[in-house]
Amino acid sequence: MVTAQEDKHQILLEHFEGILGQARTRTVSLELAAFHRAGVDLSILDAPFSEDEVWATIKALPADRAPGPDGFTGRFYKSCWQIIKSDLMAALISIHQGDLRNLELLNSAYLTLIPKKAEALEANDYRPISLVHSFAKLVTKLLANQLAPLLNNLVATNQSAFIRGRCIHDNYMLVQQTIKVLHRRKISSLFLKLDISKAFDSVDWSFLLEILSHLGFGFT
Amino acid sequence: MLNGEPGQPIFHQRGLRQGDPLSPMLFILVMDVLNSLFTKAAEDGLLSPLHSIGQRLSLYADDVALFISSDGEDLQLTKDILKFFGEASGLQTNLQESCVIPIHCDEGIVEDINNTLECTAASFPTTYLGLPISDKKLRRGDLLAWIEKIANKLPGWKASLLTLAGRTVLVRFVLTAIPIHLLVAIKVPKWFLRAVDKIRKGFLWTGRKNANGGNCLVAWEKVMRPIDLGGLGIHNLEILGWALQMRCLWLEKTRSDRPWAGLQIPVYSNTTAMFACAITTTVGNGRNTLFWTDRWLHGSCLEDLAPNVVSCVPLKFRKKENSG
Repeated sequence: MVTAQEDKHQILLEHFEGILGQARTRTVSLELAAFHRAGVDLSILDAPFSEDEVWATIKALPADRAPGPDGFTGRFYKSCWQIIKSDLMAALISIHQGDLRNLELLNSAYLTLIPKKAEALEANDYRPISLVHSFAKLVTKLLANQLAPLLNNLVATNQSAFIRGRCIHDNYMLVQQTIKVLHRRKISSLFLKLDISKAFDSVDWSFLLEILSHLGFGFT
Repeated sequence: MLNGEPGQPIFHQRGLRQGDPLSPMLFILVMDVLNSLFTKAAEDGLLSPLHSIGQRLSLYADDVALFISSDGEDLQLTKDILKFFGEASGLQTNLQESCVIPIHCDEGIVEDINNTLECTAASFPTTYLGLPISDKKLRRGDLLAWIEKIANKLPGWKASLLTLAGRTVLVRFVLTAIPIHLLVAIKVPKWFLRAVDKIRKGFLWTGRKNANGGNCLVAWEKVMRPIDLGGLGIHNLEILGWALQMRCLWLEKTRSDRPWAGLQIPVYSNTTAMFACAITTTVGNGRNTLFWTDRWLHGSCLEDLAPNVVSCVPLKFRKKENSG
């Protein structure tokens, strides 16, 4: 049991350093070119953000979510758009041109802990919520909006999560009816339902970058 | 942040942020590699073929379902592929927590599964993406969980404090919404609809699970009418189910890149009929027009115009594309 503020800091720091702070050392890498789909033309993603695009994204931002370290909420962007427009666009364009000076000032976040159960005693019993800068939120949202329509060509049809126009029932139909067919034709086979541990938290960044460059994402 | 004050910075070096609009897209790009790995292995003949149609893998975010042949070598290879993918991407498959179900295998397979994959064999029915799957027809017990899920909603609501209008809203938008995920996916048996109706009816009139005949002021059929026809706008689940399944037929017709291409889908006969009378086909290059059953000839189909001719054609030819 720890009660002092400094001790709590120490414990949580160690806990999250362990989860987030260590890059894995990879022992294996995959030769993507040998088996993965060929890249597609993604030059459309290299176009700079337009003012209309940014405004449309800002309009879609939720107004009153908890702000990050900068304290700006979506409502601020919405109501001050006319005033901050030129500065904001200048910042976005320089990010887009690969000018990353002092980016770490904007690309940081507060980790806030929310207890998962009534008596949360260990660091593991808390769900970390990261509050990022509103600017970082805006940039990722813009990138996501640009990428979303292209995903349909980048991902095989048997994966339907997070892609517009595909539906969870497509996957269900596929699995259920394949089982029926195998059963009816008396084909001896196995159905595996895999459990990937901590899927979202353990994606290897260097692997992700390899995939992205293989698929034709630029490095600008 | 701890009690309102920020602590020391932690440098973020792996993982994707939850709630970030970009992360899920990056995640599925990573998972797509796993699909390519298995596709390649199958193309090169390393995995024995299963059946001519369909896909081996079904991915929905981190829910992966996979079909392999029960051959011992295939088991080993699958395990290796998953291990390599885990090493390269950081996405380790937890085989102990995974579940393997044999389809039409002999007894010896269970031992193979234990030895090679180091996980235990299970059996149908199971759930995938929150829906029940089974090799046989779903039995009563498989769907009872859904009934309970709906019934469990009731105790939390202070029904005695709600007016009839308040309860109507709950029935319309909460109790009716729960089974929709199920209704889209499977042909639900009649008893299931009756059981759900019983709960909906009971809650509407009395706020409890059951209602006696005397509690119900208006016949349930009338209650289920749309508001402009004098009902309360509570959906009729049976008809809702027919309507929801129309989507599958539409996709079957229009989207050739659907993942379940080539597989038959179970739909109510009423859905098929409704679909048939709502759709007319304009023949383009004729590639996805069904000669015998589609309505392409001045808005009618050959089945209506020449029933005797059609009855001479074997059923399996009628469903085939390009059979004309």
